[in-house]
Amino acid sequence: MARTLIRRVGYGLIAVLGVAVLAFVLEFVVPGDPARAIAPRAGSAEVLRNIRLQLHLNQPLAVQFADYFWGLLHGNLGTSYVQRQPVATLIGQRLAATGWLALAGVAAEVVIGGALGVAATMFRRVRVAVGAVNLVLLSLPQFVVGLALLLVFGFQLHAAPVTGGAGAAQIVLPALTLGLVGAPWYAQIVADQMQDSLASPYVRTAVAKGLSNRYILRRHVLRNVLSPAITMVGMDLGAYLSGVVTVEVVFGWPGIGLLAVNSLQNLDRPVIMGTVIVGAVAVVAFNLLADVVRMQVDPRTRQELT
Amino acid sequence: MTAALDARELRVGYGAAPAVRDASLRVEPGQVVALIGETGSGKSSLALATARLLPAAAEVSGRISISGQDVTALVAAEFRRRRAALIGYIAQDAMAALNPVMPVGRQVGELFRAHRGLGRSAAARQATEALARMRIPRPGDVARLFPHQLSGGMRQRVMIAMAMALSPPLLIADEPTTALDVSTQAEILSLVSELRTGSGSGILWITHDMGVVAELADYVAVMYAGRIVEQGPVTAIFDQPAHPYTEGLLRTRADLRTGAAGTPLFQVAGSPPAPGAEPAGCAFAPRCPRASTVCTATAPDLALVGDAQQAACHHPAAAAGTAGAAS
Amino acid sequence: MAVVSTGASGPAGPGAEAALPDAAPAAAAHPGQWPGTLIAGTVMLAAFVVIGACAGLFGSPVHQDVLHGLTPTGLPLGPGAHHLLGTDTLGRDELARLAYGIRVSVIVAVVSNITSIVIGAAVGLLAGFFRGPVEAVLMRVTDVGLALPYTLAALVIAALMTAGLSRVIVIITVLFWSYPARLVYGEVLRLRGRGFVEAGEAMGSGGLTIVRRHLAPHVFTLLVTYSPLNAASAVVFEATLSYLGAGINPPTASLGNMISDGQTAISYAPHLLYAPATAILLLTMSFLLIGEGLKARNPDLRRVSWLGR
Repeated sequence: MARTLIRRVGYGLIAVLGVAVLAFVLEFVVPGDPARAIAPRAGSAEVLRNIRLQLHLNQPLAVQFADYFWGLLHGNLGTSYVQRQPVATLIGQRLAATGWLALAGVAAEVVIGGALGVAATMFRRVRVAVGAVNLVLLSLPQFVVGLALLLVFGFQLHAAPVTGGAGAAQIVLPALTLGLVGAPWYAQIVADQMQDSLASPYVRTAVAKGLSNRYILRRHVLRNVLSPAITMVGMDLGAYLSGVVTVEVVFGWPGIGLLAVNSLQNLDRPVIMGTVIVGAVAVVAFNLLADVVRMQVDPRTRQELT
Repeated sequence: MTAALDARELRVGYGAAPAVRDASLRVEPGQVVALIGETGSGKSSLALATARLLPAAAEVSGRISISGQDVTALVAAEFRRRRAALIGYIAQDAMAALNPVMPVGRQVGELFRAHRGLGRSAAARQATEALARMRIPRPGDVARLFPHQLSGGMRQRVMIAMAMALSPPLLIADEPTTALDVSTQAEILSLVSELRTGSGSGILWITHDMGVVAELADYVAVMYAGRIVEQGPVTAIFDQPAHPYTEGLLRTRADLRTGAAGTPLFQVAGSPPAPGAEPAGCAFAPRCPRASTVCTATAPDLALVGDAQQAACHHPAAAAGTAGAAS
Repeated sequence: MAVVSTGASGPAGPGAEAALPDAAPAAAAHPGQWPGTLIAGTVMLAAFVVIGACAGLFGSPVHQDVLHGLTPTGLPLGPGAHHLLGTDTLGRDELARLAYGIRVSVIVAVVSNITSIVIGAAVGLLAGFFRGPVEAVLMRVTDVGLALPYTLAALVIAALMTAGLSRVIVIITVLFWSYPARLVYGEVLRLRGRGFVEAGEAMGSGGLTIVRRHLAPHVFTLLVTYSPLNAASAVVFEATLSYLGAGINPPTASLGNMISDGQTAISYAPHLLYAPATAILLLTMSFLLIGEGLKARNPDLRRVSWLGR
């Protein structure tokens, strides 16, 4: 088990490294003058030359590359062109908000999706209805769901705040949006896995042992649902922690995603690159975490099957 | 003495296809009854029906008594409470029949927790003892392992341990050695032989292998197309089979063992009828060397031939114990 | 003789507990037949394709009708005789914009679907077939592709290109190829495990022949069944990108930017949101229905997991 984990960590590091290299290529090599981006109204060439000196932009590419990576290893993601602050600080300020939204969103989709999946498995008449609901939810982009909720609950029913912010009241609709959009995926794997389990010989053995149906569902069936569900939760947490851009934009939630979008409009490249790298780290880290938890729950996954 | 299993006029159907058509079977305590037949003969359906393990879509009728109790009259909840103490079921594929994410010790222990009300550690101790009775080495360590970490033979021992845990009067073994290699099969058979004398349970052993029947069973019932076509003590049947299908099965096996190299092996020509498409009259008639007009007209009932054998045939061969040949 | 229906879940007695539900298959398999979902999805998709192809018939999507296109106070019109679906905040005809937006979505779905799958399949095939260092490199690159946070990476690429159709197609291709790559890679490994490749080599077939004759058909079926889901994701992603300003920007019409325009008027003209949202819903749904139908036709593909977005 340790060997598999170490290998996965290695792959993850390589992936993050790859993303960092990509970010470097885009930031430093693509045409576009950072100096002018920082000081767009600067008149004299003198000012621009000073800025370039400060940013080490006149150094050979290899040196810039080394500088960049050295900085990365120390958590230095560069400095924002627009806000004159270290990118790491800017991202750090928004991390909590994005974190809360990510957790709330994952909780919502697991609960809604899990309920749908269990209902579809247990009650035949509900199965078709759940299928239709899943189809509709899968066909809607996040921003459409978010806007619909905002329209109905915010503007028409006045039940939820319509201005931005990061409070407890404001998290409801964005989390619900994430929950609704992600629910069909969980409903699908829960229903599939439950059906596989119920049709399996080991449930027949459990019935033969005279165990109660409730016990069988709890101990034998749902246990087996955990494994694929945990994989999904890991993927989702990683993806959401890199900033749920669309939802943050729709609701004005002050997270990393909103920071990235604003930076895009301002052409503040270091911030954009920084968010991408942080996002990649989040994705890799949480996929790894999900793997670890899953190995605990499902012992078959502890050895890498060739 | 009360039979471990007394099944009467059992019928099992899946929609339009009948799997078991009117079968009656008895297993005495301490006796091993082998139920032999080809795939599709209905033997698994019969066994699962007696244990009430068929899916709800199956239609089952008939009377089933286990150790004197009429289980067909019991309501589901009541039957559930008693079933582990009445019937032990040993599945064919132990890898699929054990929960892959639960240690095997806990899977055995569940029985004691649910039916004897034991706590976790007491149940674990009982489970380890049960595994030890199956001649599993270091049972305490094995109990902590997961099914995929055990060999096929070990898994099957775990299944047998689960089936025998509450010492039920009836054990139903559904081809438990079919998926095992020959040496492991021999181990399991010898284990069961040892256990049966001590336990006093009646065993219904499903198989398609005459060799297993010869080694283990006291009594054998041969199934064809959903009906029991011959039954009797193993020695009698092997010496003098009365039904032509049984003859065919035995001859195939004999050829395998003693046939001269180069000569074609004997096989019963044709194949069994599809469920739902059985011919009127005797289902074996199309393949039978002794078939006559009466065979295609009416289906024969089981009738006594010789001392202890029964065969459903209009032209049974001379059975053990009859004087002179009849044809 | 008692007639009894037995089974795992029997009749509920006094103090009934939850009965174990029957494990019926999720969707009935129709190998060889044309399932209803497939037909419904194809019909819907055909309708959208027709609308998109004939978008020119609906009038100009960018002409701002200042005379008749706005209310006296300068607000967008509701549905009426002149403009069947009303006008947007700049007096442009909603129906025409909708038709052009649909055209964009269909083009994006088809083109980026093909490009992402072709690239992904090539990578997956090469990695799975040649193993060794080729596999290691290609799979690590795929890992990078899978580790990229979708929307953020899209914004980055968007910042480097000018707004328009090609930008969207490039973004989607770059972000979507790694999933089919992993799918195909997994399938090739699975097929290798079943001995096709070794058998082919033993018979003396060259590498390319093995790929063509043994691997390609299975992989092709896998991709055909996967592509509707890919196309559906592409439609949704393009709409999202255009909504965020990272895809197709106004005045060119896209279902996504129609919604972002409409959002500014959400309190007084919410009808601007209904048409594009419904179009996105139905177009995506048509692809998903086709995907479901194809899966029903190929029951052994039901086992393949579509996890990932």
